[in-house]
Amino acid sequence: MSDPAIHTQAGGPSAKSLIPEGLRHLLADPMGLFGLVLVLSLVFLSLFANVLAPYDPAKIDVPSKFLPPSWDHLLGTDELGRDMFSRALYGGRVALKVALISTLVALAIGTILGFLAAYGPKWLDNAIVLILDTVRAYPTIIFALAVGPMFGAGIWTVVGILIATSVPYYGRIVRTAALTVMQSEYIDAERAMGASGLRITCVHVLPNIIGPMLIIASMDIPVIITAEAGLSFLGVGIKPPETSWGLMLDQGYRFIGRTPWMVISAGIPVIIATLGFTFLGEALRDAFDPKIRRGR
Amino acid sequence: MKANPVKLLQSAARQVFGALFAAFLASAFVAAPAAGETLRVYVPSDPASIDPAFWGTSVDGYLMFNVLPRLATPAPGNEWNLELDVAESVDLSDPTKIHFTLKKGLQWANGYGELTAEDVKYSYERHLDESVGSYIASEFDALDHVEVTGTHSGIIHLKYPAVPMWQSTLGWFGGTIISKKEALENGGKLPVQPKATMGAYTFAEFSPGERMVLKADPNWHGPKPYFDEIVLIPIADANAAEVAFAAGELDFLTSTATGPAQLRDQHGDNAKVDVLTSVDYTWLGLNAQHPSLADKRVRKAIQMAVDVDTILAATFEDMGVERATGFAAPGMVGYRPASKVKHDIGAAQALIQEAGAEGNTIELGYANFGSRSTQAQIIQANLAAIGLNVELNAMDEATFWDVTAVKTPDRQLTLKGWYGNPEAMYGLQYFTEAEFEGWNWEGFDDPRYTELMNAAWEVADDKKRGDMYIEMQDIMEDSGSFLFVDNAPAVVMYKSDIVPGLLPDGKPMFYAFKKK
Amino acid sequence: MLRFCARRIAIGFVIVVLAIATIYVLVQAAPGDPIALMLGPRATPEMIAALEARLGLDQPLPVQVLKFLIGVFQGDLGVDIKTKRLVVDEVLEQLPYTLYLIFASLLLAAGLGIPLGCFSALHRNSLVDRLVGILSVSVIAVPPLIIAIYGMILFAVHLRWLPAIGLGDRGDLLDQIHHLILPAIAVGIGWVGYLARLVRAAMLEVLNEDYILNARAFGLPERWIIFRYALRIAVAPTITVLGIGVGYMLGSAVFAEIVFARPGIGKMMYDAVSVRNYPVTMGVVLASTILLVASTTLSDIINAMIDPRIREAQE
Repeated sequence: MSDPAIHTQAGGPSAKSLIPEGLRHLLADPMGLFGLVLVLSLVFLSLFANVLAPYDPAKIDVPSKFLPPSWDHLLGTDELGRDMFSRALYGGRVALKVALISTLVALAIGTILGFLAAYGPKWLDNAIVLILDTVRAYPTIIFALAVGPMFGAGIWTVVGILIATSVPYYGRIVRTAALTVMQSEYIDAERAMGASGLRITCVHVLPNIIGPMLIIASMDIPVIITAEAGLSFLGVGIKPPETSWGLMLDQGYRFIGRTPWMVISAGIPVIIATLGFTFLGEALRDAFDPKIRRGR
Repeated sequence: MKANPVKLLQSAARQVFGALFAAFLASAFVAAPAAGETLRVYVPSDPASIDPAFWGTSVDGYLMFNVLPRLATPAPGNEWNLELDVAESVDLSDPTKIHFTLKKGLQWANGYGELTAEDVKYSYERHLDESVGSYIASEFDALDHVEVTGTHSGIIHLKYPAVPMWQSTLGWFGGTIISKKEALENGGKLPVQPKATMGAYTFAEFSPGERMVLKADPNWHGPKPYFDEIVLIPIADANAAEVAFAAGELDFLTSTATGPAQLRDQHGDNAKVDVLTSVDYTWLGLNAQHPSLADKRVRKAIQMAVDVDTILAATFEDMGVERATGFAAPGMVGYRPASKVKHDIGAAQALIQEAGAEGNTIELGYANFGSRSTQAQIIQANLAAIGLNVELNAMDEATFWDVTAVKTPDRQLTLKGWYGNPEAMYGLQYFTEAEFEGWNWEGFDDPRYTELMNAAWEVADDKKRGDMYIEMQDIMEDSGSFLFVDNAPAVVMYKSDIVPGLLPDGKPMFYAFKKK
Repeated sequence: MLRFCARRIAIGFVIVVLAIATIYVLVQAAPGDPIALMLGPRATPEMIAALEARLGLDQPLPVQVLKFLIGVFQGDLGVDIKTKRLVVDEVLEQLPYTLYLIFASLLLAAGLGIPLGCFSALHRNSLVDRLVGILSVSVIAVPPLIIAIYGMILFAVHLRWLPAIGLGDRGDLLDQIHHLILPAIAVGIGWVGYLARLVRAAMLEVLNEDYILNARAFGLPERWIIFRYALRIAVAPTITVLGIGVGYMLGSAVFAEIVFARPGIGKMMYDAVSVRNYPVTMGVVLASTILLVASTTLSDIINAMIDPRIREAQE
């Protein structure tokens, strides 16, 4: 929502020493543990979808259509009698793939832009900030609806749109964080000793912000998953015969008068994913962000 | 200023919210509550055009039948029956000269004057005018000209005796009469919401995407309809419409999203569900003019690969809908007893390999609503089994039917249903070369077919004409360009206190709706 | 302060101009040529040339962009391809519906989120506090689309308490409000959670400030302290957040409008995209961008009023 600020402290405890302590905190936090379990099971189920799926997700079996959830079909079946659970597993692959690729690429681009803005000349800073703010001026969904159809529906369009709309967010945070670190006396001393900007960046600034950035990115994953589902629901995302949670929601919504089960079932994986990642992200932040932990 | 930021903030917020709230209240009270009885009807989309030369969507069809006149128009009831509308008398005894006399003193709404024979002449002849570019010019192929013999009388001169034309064109959408004055004011075309209407209802309000309101027209010559107001609510999806019906927000809907048995279960005594046999037909069209489908072997393979029985089972559940055999529904003149296409994946696969088409990608276009996308996905899966990739292109209804938005030669596979007419010629007449840019999305052209069609126009004997239709439909199917799927029955659902006025296929005639 | 405001507004203005220029260029440069989309691939070269000339697309891109922007300033967004009506009129017709929805969602977020956060802070670590904490995170996480659909199933289909679709009767305010409830919950419930957390944190901080402790020491009644001092200070940041929220709610409104078949710019955009009605698309992008930039700019300014440090940092 609004930019979270990273509270970096150059010369403070390094990220490395925080990890065991942070993990301990994470495991002690019931919500965090719950999130971790959800996320791990989700990743596991999606990764091994081809082994774990009880049915072929594309297998049409009209006589057993619109079945409510049962032991045979954990999430019921859709209007063509396809097993919703198996489809959800394959949809999970798409969701995770989109989330992982777009988050990492956006993070990388955002970090580079953020550093360029922080260390570059004033005009470059202004230009980058202006560009980032311009892209931020579009509501994601509206932007996707405007641009998506021009590139054709499909997974790479979704990834492209999500990268474009996430970069400004990361770029802004990195820029602010880098500026903060640069202003600290510690860096002043380094610089006085003749260290180059690049050296300062690589040795001092980057390690300091990379941890918090990863945490912020992990908290962004549910947003990306939501967006993918939303775009597919709107028809600018994944298209059949591929499966995605958003497509399943769209199909379920179409038959909401016939049976509520389809759309309820289609929502479950999305809820598990967003809840899991959010709980985990919150716990990670609490565990690894020294400022917030101290505040407790 | 720094002293009390909170106060400043509060006043700023108060002003912003206050303004918003005021706007909210103001707009809510602009329109006064309507008096009298209102019928709320689900429609799948906004109207595209109710000009008979350019109509396309099902809503356009509803509206044309309800706000614009014809010489004779289908009457509500269980049997197909044409009753005189604005004509006082029509003489069909001469096969090439149809004499008509109009009722006197019929006024177009909103001061567009009296209906005259000039309006009839204009309305019919414009379909032949190339500069108008009527989408349904084929329906008027037999028309030579309309002779005006008096303010209220005229003679329709035909080039050849066109027996089916009275039923399939003049007493149907094509025969819709418009106000010459209003059309000329608008460059020869009716606006989306014409002012010069004639019927039990006229347009009162149109908010695209939200609703369209019809009001009883006090000037109408017929009896005053029971409902003062008809509200058409566009909902893109029949299922969402069923939800709205369940929530009490609709009074009448036509839907095939859910089987009738289940609808009856869901609604119990609150609603009545009727199933009406329709004369509509759904088929998969394969465009022979498109490079991806130009090879007849590919078309034949697709015909054999698509599992029509599964499509029927998935779409109509327990309604016992039989596979369609052509453009004539059971019971109609020209009904073909059986399709000759056999579902055979192995043979289909062999044909595809023989044609070297394995791995090709073909687009399947359809109008996006519940059962269509189900059917399309089955076709996609069926064709995947013989090595063809199908790209689904779901369009909203208005775009799908818009031949200017999607050019006919660019269509590949199209899954679609047409409004039928009790006279099979209504659909059959479109499959000529002249319609390659129009409604012949199959790019179908066959000399024997055209010969039969031209001959059939003049055959008054139903049995003989019917046999010709059957042979025509055999040719269509054999070309590989048509895979007939169903004559979808219409399922209508309405509140139990309503008595609907429907054509035999479920099309609503709002003037005949009543309440118990 | 005035200078700061002027600067922020100027930047906001530049951003809007850049944003719509960018979308214009993106749409023109994208592989799917809008002309081809409008006319279909079989369009003759003459047809393409004629339409391009009509839309001014035969000129160099910078000229086109400039012309488009000039048009925008004159309130000319072109003509809807389908209805042949002015896009400006259509957008202005649909915009209020979306604004009501967002306004209702804001009311919900503030009306529920602030008391919940306040209560949580005052009963720190109680069962309710923990429950509110978990629920807050949960409603933030779950997408508005899902909330809309589940809400519809539960309240409209199953319980039949609330209407499922549309705006409600034109002349009947109560009916309209009735129709707003579910969509507003879908759009606003996440913000309830967000505000609850924010207010809780802010309250906890304020309650530890010296002057509150002093007030307590002076024996001022607890209720008075909370409502007179603490809450007022704690609520301030939430208004800022709500300002930003308007922009985000626009995205959620698209889903709420589609699911509940409500008119509004989100639904308008969706419909326009599916029929390739590209002038309307541009109109909605413009309207939503202005709305988002205006709301963030406003919240920046409010923020700066409250906390002068921000102002200095940005100048």
